[in-house]
Amino acid sequence: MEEKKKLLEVKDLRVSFFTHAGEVKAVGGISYELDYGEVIGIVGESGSGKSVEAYSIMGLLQDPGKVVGGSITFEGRDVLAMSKKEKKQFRGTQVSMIFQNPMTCLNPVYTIGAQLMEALRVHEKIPKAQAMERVKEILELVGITNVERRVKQYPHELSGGMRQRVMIAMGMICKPKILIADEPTTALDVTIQAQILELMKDIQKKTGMAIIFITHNLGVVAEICDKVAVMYAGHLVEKGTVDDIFYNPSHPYTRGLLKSMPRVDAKKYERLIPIEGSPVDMLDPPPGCPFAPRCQSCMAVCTMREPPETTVGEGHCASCWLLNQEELTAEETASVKREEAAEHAG
Amino acid sequence: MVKFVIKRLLMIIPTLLVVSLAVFLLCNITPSDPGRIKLGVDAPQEAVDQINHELGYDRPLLVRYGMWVWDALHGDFGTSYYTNRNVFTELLARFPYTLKLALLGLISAIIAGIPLGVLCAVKQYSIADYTLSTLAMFLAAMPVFWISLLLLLQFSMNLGWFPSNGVSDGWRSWVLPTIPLTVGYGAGYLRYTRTAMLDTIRQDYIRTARAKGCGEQTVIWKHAFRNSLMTLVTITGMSFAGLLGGAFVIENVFSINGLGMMGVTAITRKDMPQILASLLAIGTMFLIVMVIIDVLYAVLNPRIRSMYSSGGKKRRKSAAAVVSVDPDTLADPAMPDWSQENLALLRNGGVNHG
Repeated sequence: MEEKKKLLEVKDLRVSFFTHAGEVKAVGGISYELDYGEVIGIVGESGSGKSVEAYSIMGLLQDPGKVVGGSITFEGRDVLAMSKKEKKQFRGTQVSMIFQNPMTCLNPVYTIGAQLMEALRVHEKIPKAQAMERVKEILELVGITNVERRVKQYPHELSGGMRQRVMIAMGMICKPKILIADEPTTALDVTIQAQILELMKDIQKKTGMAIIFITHNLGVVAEICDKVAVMYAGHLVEKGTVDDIFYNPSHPYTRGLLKSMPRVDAKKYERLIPIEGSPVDMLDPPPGCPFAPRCQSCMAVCTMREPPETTVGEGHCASCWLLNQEELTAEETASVKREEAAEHAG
Repeated sequence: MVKFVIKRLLMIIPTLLVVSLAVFLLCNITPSDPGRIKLGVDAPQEAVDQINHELGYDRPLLVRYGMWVWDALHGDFGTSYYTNRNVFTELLARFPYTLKLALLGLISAIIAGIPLGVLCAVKQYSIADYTLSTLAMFLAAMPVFWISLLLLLQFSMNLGWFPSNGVSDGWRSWVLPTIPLTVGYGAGYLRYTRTAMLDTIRQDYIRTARAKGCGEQTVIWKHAFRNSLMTLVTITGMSFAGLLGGAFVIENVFSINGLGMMGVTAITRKDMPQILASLLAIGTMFLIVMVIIDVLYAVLNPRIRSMYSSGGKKRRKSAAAVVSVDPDTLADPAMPDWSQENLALLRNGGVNHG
């Protein structure tokens, strides 16, 4: 079998924000791979570093954020070492991104047509009329009707769902190999969410591009993704296929997430089970596993050492000491109550 | 749009009436005796009374005001008590000087202030940013007349490079009068541009532009600066009022025979027709600038434009409420936060109807 280059390889990526209060390790060493045409969901609560991770792929990290370690390899090229010019070319043509809030992501003073055309003409030197044709085609592809009129309209004349469609069109217009979708449905209402998801699935099938889908909505993940990576406090706690994550969750955090999700088949009186406690202070994270202070099955070792990544099944890994118990001493596996762990951490 | 402009232009007339009434009343708070002014201290009382009668000064205040308005509406602004010349012709002769001075100051302030402001915003917290913003604060704090006097002393008296008064020496005579305006307003422009750019540069659509693969220059000028223009246009409207006021001072320091000079001289002599005429001229100029600014808003911002061109009466009404600027608020150029408020107002207004 010939050796195929991976589309995207993120290895031990570390991103920190250097604030006045100190270094915030927003992403503390995560690794994953993405193949051609794959859809990976990155799940985590707010502040878990999922967007920051995506921005570092795009090179859109704003000061005071900095990649402090690890590597991002795109088709064998080192993304972090690209020159400004290469990066400019890279954005849009290889990887493009759509954002959370479609209401503010389009420039209010230019027409939809002009903004889409700019995205195209930054990378391809083609005449305006031809570019406009492409713009109209792609708008039709994302399900916008009345295209002739829409291209002359300004963002404020379009609804949120429509603007997100325009954003998707903008992301796709140069046929990138990866589309990063940073919570693309969060700001939309539920019916529009479903439409946009349907659209993205459809487009993914048609174009075969890979998608990195960042979300905190597990329902969305189940709907659209092949693989899932669960993030907590800047760490990848578990990754695997959708089936792995939903049917065989191996990390207490993933299990907690699934338990806290409302179910259609739940009995009326059944209550959702929340994950107790609150996320760690990223300025001063506790030693050991970041989830330890909130973990039901926390052991002594969890508050001291970071858990190693353990393979659970093929392509399914989780970082948790529970999966490595045989290597530990009895003292280390002594169970610690949540409060104690929190105290220990604090 | 055309309808709106015509409406706004017509609104100038009642505004000017109010302005003239205010000026008229203010001038008459202290008793005045134009006959005495005209004839001098030694003239017999009968002659003085005669003149006062001719000018209507033996009649009630409001009647006099009515007479003045009636004449003004017929194009007759009276003659100066002092020079006996037609006030209107004198006005026309002096007007170009003031306009030229204000425009020179405005343009050079824009040329100096805006690019430096953009630079400060793009390189925020750099040495260049700290130096320029501090310098700008320092320069903006210096009074116009003081800078003028310093310039006169050094470049005119000591070095003799530029003439100290009048406008008879071609471009050389305009250099010194322009500099104080450039320094003061350029510094203001720098700070306003910096703030506006810092605001827009953090918007989501700037990130989108970067994600598209736009170059940094395109991001800064085409996306960020274009959106900051709204604020800058507001500032320009505000500073124009200040510039006209600044021109008053500068005309006196450099003895330029403009409207300002005419106004100040008229006030010291209590030359009513001339006071009224010069202030009304300045007021008209300012109000016209305001209309131009309103039109520019619509040109720059598609949201406002669409409010003018489409939608029912309610929409149009709210559009007017959003863009019309109260001249009283604008009269004070030293109101740093007003622009931001106005911008927020524009945004909110826009969002509500967008």
